[in-house]
Amino acid sequence: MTAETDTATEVVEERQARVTSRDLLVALARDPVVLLAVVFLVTLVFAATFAGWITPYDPLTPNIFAGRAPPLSTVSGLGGVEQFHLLGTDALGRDMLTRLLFGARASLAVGFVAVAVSGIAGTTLGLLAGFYGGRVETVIMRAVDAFMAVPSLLIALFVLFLIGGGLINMVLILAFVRWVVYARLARGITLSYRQSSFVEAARSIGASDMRIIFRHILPNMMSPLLVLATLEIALLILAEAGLSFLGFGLQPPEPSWGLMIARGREYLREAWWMITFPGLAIFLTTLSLNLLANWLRTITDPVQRWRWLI
Amino acid sequence: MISAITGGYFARRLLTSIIMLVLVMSVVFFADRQIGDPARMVLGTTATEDDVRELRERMGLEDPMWVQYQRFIVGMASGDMGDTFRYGISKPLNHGEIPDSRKTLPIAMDRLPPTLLLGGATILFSVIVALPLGIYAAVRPRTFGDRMVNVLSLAGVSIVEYWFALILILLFAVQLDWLPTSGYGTAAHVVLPALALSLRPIGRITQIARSSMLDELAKPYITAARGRGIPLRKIASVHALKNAAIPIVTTIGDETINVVTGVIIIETVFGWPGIGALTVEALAIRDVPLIEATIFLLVLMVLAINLIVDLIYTVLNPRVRFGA
Amino acid sequence: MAMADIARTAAVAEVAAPVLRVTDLQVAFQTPHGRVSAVNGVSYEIRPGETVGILGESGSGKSVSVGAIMGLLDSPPAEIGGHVYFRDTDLLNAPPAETRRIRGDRVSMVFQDAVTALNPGLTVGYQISEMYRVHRPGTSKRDALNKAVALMDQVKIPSARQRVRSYPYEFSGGMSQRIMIAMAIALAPDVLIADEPTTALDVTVQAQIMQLLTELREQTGMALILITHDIGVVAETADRVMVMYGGRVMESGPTAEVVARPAHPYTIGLMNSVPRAEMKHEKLRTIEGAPPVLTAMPSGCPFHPRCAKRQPECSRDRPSLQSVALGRESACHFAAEVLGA
Repeated sequence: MTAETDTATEVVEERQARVTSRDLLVALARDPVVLLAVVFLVTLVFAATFAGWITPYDPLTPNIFAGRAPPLSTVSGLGGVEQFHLLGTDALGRDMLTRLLFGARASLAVGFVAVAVSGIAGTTLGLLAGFYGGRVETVIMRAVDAFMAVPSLLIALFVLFLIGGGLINMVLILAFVRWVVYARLARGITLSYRQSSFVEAARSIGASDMRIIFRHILPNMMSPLLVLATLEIALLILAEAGLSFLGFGLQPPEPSWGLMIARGREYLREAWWMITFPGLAIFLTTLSLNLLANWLRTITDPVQRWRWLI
Repeated sequence: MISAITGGYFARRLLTSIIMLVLVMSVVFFADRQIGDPARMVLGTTATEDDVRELRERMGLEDPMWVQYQRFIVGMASGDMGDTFRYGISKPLNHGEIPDSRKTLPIAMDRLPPTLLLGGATILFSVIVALPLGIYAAVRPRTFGDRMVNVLSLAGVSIVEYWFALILILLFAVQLDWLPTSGYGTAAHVVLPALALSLRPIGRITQIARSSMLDELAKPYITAARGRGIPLRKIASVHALKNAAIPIVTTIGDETINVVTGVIIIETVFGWPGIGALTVEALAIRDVPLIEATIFLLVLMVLAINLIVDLIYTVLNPRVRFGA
Repeated sequence: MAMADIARTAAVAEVAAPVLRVTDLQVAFQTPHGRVSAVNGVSYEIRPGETVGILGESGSGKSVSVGAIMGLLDSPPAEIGGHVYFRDTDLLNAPPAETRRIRGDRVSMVFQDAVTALNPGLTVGYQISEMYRVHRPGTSKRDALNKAVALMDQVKIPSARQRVRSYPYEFSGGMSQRIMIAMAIALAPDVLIADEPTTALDVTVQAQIMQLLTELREQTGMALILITHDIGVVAETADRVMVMYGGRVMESGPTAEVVARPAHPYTIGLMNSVPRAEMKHEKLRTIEGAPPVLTAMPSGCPFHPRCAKRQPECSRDRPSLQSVALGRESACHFAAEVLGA
């Protein structure tokens, strides 16, 4: 409202213009909730990667003597060996914690790989649409409009119905339905940079289009892209679980959190742990990712970029 | 106050929506023809080759593809999307009365009211909860209340809807026996599915309401309104909200669309006789015409929601209204 | 306060008690770079029917000082000290419920850029009539709207009856400013603060708006505080003027005397940078350098880095505001010489 208060806020904002990775770490240390989320995610990735070394049990081998053992119970396994199950066992006597860890592999693989594929494809198309305009833009943005008109989950469900489930198909399909969000973001930001002085400067020293796009424009949208990708990983983990729950995604006996909930549903009254833990695992993972994305956004936010996401 | 310019705008939007619908349904049509012989699906694996050929003739499957496509498009325009393969014959589906007709569109249309009821209740509840929360957080930024609202809205967005639904069933239906586990009919039946479905919209609407209100509250006209001695309550609920409404309405629209897909799972979990559960059933038994009818209705709902959102824009933004 | 004493003995006839008294107003902001002071020890008073001009460049603290009066600064980051008395109520220290009733009703304000200061989502009729609905509870919607139309007539908006339902974007900048003025005078305030009311407008429109403000003041007998960077506007309309620089008062006194014989080098600089008809072939002289940044305020006299008459002590000792003539004050070590020159 007044020149003077503007000066004061300018001083405040100036400092946020450049965010280094050291700033990020310092800021992270100051925010215990987000720090906790990051620790959880790192632990989860580690545990999922080395699941085979961490747990003595096999995620697929049934143990008919130990079906639906409640958490913290010790049952006798094959050959009379005492087996301790921290989170209990499922209907076929398989250790819940083991299956959760192997399920995390599926969830994280689907989330990260699908986001990487759709992110790279969508960002590239968005950059091209925004930079070249004209017919390139028209074709790409029409496709984006068409994808936006139909809910992603519906498309995914239908395509899975056509080509069948499984881990690879799941990744491909989720990447196929979600590239549009990156394309929209990348195009919006590119449009705002197309006429900017640093692009003009790069052009004046004879930089090629590809160099301008990938070396000058792309780095300037990395933080919003990073935030979007984090949100998308959370969304895709939820989507994978949902589609698998309906029976269109990963197929038994593959361990998947969504499938575990689907199986647990049949034993809702008898074995609460069968449904509670996989659901909590998904919830904590997506919550951590969302907290992280939210925090990244406030840390790196030059406000106007976010207009493209709303 | 809707002018001729807005009228033209709407005619254009309506046309785009119809084109989009035809486009999507065409893709569905051609994709569906790739999954196997419909006649074989109807008759099952035990039928003879002759029977199958005869049925193919009757179903028009021997015609060239473009003739079939033409028939499909004309049928869609006239509200006839073909006969169901199995519904009511080999495997009666579980919910509601079995309709006399074997036409897929009436079967699917019968499932529309329960879905509209569930979706409407969900969105209404979400907006009633989320708007005050978001506004509350925006007028008290960086306070404890604001942080709580922020974490809760993130939790809402992070939760697995159907898992939460099952936990609700376990708690309120199985343990406490307050509400029915599943089914349709009374108001009590709506509570659990609507609650489960509303978490995500509540989270999203709260977040957007907060951030767009914060944006507006920082603008000069708010300072000016404070200078005129207008109470903070009124500044937030009238002055800022009126201008923050567009992103909020956009989000409510997006979330309504998400609810349309959310019902696919939630209706299955709660045995709710809506279009979502029917879609899953149709996909599971590979009943191609019924799949087409349900997708048709789902996409139609999405396009209708988008149109309604556009209509609300023109009411909210005077500039859009006058085509400026 | 010295200034208040002198004002009382000033040539201005003492017909009524001051309606607004500002004493030792202090405003500072907390920033990541530490605490910066935006307004420092500003005191003045204004009587009914009087016009006081507050003159200064951007960054001089003139807008912040009235922002504090109107309760527009958020604390944090703002820290506000001193007193602002409207009659007997201290606007800075009274309960918010009480000050809110005074702001907009008894003391109101016209903002710099009416186009952004009007709510784009509400009709101008709603925004004007809201003044009655908020401050005069019980006014019916219809009455309030009729009064809004009358006000729009009063500020000379053509075909007010039809335009009362229009939205702000349908008005030009000048018309928007008239609507802002209509809102500000709706409840016949005792004090009207106009913060650069014409800066965002075309030159021809500027004159019309200034004339409107002057007329309204004459009609209603309200006191007018006019904030501007334009010494010409002050010379034409203000009874008294206060020149601000770097958050401090540099000089104050009756406008005619200050303009005729400035008592501060900064005032001289301001006057020399205004083109005048009698200057003919003389070169227009601007003040060298830029106004100080709040975070890097010079030591001693805030103006010394740009002052043509600076001496070594100017960077060491900060001159205090001293009486230099009847009703006049200056914050310059060499005020007497400047005045005598």
